[in-house]
Parts: sequence; structure tokens; C-alpha cells
Amino acid sequence: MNKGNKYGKVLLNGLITENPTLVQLIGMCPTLAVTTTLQNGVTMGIAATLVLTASNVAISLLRKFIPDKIRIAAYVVIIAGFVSIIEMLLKAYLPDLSASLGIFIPLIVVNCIILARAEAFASKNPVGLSALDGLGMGLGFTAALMIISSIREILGSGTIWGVNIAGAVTPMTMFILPPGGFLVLGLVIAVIQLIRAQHKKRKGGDA
Amino acid sequence: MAELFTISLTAILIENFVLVKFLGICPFLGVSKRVDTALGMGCAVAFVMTLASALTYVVWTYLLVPAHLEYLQTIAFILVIAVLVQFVEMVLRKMMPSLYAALGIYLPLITTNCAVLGVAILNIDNGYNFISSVVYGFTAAVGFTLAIVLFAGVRERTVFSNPPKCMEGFPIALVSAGLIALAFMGFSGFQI
Amino acid sequence: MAEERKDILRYALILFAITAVVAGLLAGVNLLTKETIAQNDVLAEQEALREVMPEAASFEALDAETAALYGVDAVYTAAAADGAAQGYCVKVSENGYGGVIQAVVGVDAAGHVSGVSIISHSETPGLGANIEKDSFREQYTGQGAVEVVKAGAQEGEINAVSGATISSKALTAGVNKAVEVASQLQGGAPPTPETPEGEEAGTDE
Repeated sequence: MNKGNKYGKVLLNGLITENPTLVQLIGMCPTLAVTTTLQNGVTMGIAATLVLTASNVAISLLRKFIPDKIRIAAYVVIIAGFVSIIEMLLKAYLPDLSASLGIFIPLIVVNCIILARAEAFASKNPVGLSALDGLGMGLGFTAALMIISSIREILGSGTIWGVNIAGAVTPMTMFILPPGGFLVLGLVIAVIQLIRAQHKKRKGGDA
Repeated sequence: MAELFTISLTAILIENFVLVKFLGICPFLGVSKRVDTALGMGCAVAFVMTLASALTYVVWTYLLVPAHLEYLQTIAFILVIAVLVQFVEMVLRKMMPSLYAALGIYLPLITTNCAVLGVAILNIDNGYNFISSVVYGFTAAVGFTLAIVLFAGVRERTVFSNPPKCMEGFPIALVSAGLIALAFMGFSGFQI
Repeated sequence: MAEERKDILRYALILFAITAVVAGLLAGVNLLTKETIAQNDVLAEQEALREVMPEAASFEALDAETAALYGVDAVYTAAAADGAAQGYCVKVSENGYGGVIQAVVGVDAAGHVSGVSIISHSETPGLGANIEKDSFREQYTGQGAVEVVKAGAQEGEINAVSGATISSKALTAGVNKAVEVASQLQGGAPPTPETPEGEEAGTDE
């Protein structure tokens, strides 16, 4: 029970309490760049989750073997390897999606979330926990991308997952252009901060 | 010459790396609380991006393509950048301690700056030659510097403003970044 | 000192070992996916060609030099199932509003456009990106070279996408270029000498 609790906590930690995008505020480039449609957001989220979990496992397995001084370089190589694999698989089996995400697939390498988890968690924890941490953080990232991309797609194109709902809203192109990305992200984070403040107040400041 | 001018203007204004292409957002949001640190970061990035453009072009054209190892692009480029940053750090520390004191703290951050890897990949995707690559790398960094310095200027002032509690900090910064991006939209569609 | 050197050597070896393993893994995945990726490219191209010239059964690319001579990206001859020539498909690139617009244009033996398909573009979503819509592209079908007007198009004209005249004009320039190239190929006429504005330089963005 105790052990299961710990695993659950690690998973939830990434998904909600320490959500990388909306709470820790890292990994902003893809968050802004690929969230023009829900489908792009989800694909990016899943690709990053796969890389994050795989690299966390690999780094956790190798944590005793990699000397401290060259750890960053070693992590970067391992992460880049997984990213390249995902990139080739996407190109082969989902060519349309791969084209619409474009340069942001190779750029998963420099997504701060992945390196940050490698450094802060996988290099210090056993394999099972690291895998869960990667999965949790990845899903948290995916959830954030889904929230932002749904808002942008609905307001900006009047569609959701490509399905036209233009009858319900008049599309405002600005939301799928860069400025809209900044605005939506800013407002979503503001809402999260509001919720957290309320939550804290209700708990009597014990969080 | 005309081509280089087009590349430069495109990279700085029309397709600004930060505000239009969304590359290098992490330092853009992280190191933009003050104008002088923003400028320092900009200079360090310009230095590394220009060198990285040149090096990755050489690695790609004379190493990876002849050996049919195109699929190693990502891993080779990130290694080149990581080594380059380390090397620049060492050289600066030895040769120009004053510059190192000014830029040193930003250098480790640059390895994970997606603008650097981004420019290296875009150079190849766009089919630029050596000179164009270097110019694109440098001017993209100028665009980055322009955006981050402008943004820092705005942020220095938001400190004195009084937004709603939940908007404090990051949200208000992102909204102001959105407004700057809106201003840069005015450049899009320029025909040169 | 010796100790330090030994350490550096050890680090280098470990890093090298990791890189080698990762590179080996990538080589394996590359081997597995290479063919599928290449097939995808061919499929995508064939699909675009079939879309712009539905009647043709097979397409054959002319060599790259010919295409370059005419100042276009690629030229394909289209043939019906019985081998009769159907016309040409021409791949063109033009500078639009947000970047290069690449399109395939089918031109039948009579010199009329049989279809236009956009391969890639970076026009503004919601405005210029509407050049991808069927309702816009179908305007070219059955016409020769055309002019862009804002509204109320007659014979030999098309209506621009509202709010996106630059994108509309860019695509039209590509279509007209394709019509011209096809008619030159049809008549066996040599390519028109390239004007400087047709140079490759500066078209990258």
C-alpha cells in the first residue's frame, strides 16, 4: 500500500502538482509553437512523453555508470538518440503529422523538461520510479498542450480536432497566429495561479 | 548580396526567431527581467549561433552527407553545439576574462537554447550555402537580441504596475510578449 | 596530473561508448524505416499528380535539367492507360505572403489547366491558407493563363481569396508559368530566356 502510494504520487506529481508547463513553467517553445491545432498538440505531447519516459529509463539504468563530470553531455546524446528514433518513426508511419510539426520534432532534444527530469530525477532514482516520473511529466505536458491547443483551435479556426464548429464561434485568426499563442498561454497560467491561490486559502495555507 | 540582405531582414524582422518562429522562448522568458542581462544573453547567443551555423554546415556538408549518415543530424548537431559552448567557455575564461565575467553565466544555458539547434537545422532545410548559413545564424541571433531587449524594457516597467493578483509574474509577462508579437506581425508579408 | 589525464581518457571512452551505442541503434531504426519513408515521398507525389490530372494513368518525370531550363521545379509527362500523351504536370514554386508556395499544376494537351494541388505553403492560416480550398483552386480548371480580380471573375479571370490578394496572385503566377511551360513543351519551342527575377537566389524564404 505504502509503495503503491509512492508510485501514484510520483505520477500525479508530474500530471498536476508539479505540471512542467503550467506550474514549473518550462518547455515553453513547443507549448507555444505547435499548439495551433489540437491534433498537433496531442502528437507533440505523445512524442515528448515517449522520449521523456525512454530517456528517464535509460539514464536511470546508466546512472551509476555515467561519471558526474560528463553527465550533461551523456544525457544530451541519449535524449538525441531517442528523439531521432521518434522522428524517423513519425516520418515513416505518420508523414502528414510529421510535416506539420516540422522542426519541432528534432527540437524535442532541447526541450528543457526532458533534460531537467534527467538531471533532477532519473539520475538519482531507480528505474521504475524514473519511468513513472517520465510518464507523469510527459502526460502533464500533453495535458497542458491539449488545453492550450483546444482553446486556440476553437477560437482561431472555429474547428476542434479538424471538425468544423464554426456555427458556434466566429473564428478569430489572431489566436492561431503567434500573438494569440502568448496571450492564451498567459491567461491559462493566470487561471491556474488563481485556482492554486483559492486552493491554498481553503486549506488554510497549509500547502 | 541581395540574397544576404533578404535573409538578414527576414531573420531580424519578418520572421523573428522568438516572436514569429517561437524559438528560444526559454531564455526569452527566463533572462529578460532586466535590459542589461538581456543584452548580455543576446550577445552570448549571437556569438554561439554564428559559430554553430558555420560548424554544423561544415559537419553536414562534408561529413554526414558524403557518408550517408543524414539520420544522425540531430545527434551530431547537438553534440557540436554542446562541445562548442564548452569550448567557447574555456577560451573566453583564458583569453578574455572580462568578457567571460559578463557572458559566462549565460553560456551553459545556451546548449539547451532551441534557437541554436533550430538555426542549424533551418540552414540545412533552407538549402543555404556556407555564407548564407553564417549570415542567417548571426542575423537570427540579432533578431533574438532585439526581441529580448525590447521585452526586458517592457518587463522592467510592469514591475511598477499593479495587475490583478493572479496575473502577477509570468502571465502578465506572456501577455506583454503577445502584444510585442502583435506589433511584429506588421512586418509579415513584406516583399523584398 | 597523470591521474587527471587518466580520468579524461576514461570520460572520453565512456562518452564515446554511449555515442557509439546510440548511433548503432539509430542506424538500425534507419534501416527499418528508410524504405517506408522513401515510399511515402513517392506516394505523396503520385497522389498530387493524380489529383491534378485524374484522367491520366501514369506519369513520368522529365530530367531535372529540362525542368531547370524552363525555370520550374519538375515536369512530368502524363499518359493515358493506352499510352496516349495527356499533357504535362508541372511543379512550380512562387513567393507568397508568408513564404514559398509549392504547387503541382496539371495542363492538358489543349493547354487548359486540369487541376491545381498545393504541396506546401506557409500562408497565414484563415486568410492566405484558403488558397488550399477546393472552391478557390477549382477556378483554374478548364482555363489557360488567368488574371486575378477581386470579385466577379469573367472568362480568363479568377476571384482572389478575400483578404489574401498576394497569396492568390502568387499561386496564379505559378499556374500561368506552368501553362506557359506546358505549351512550350507541347510545341517543342525552346524555353523563354530566364529574366533575372526568375533566379533561384532570394527565393528561399
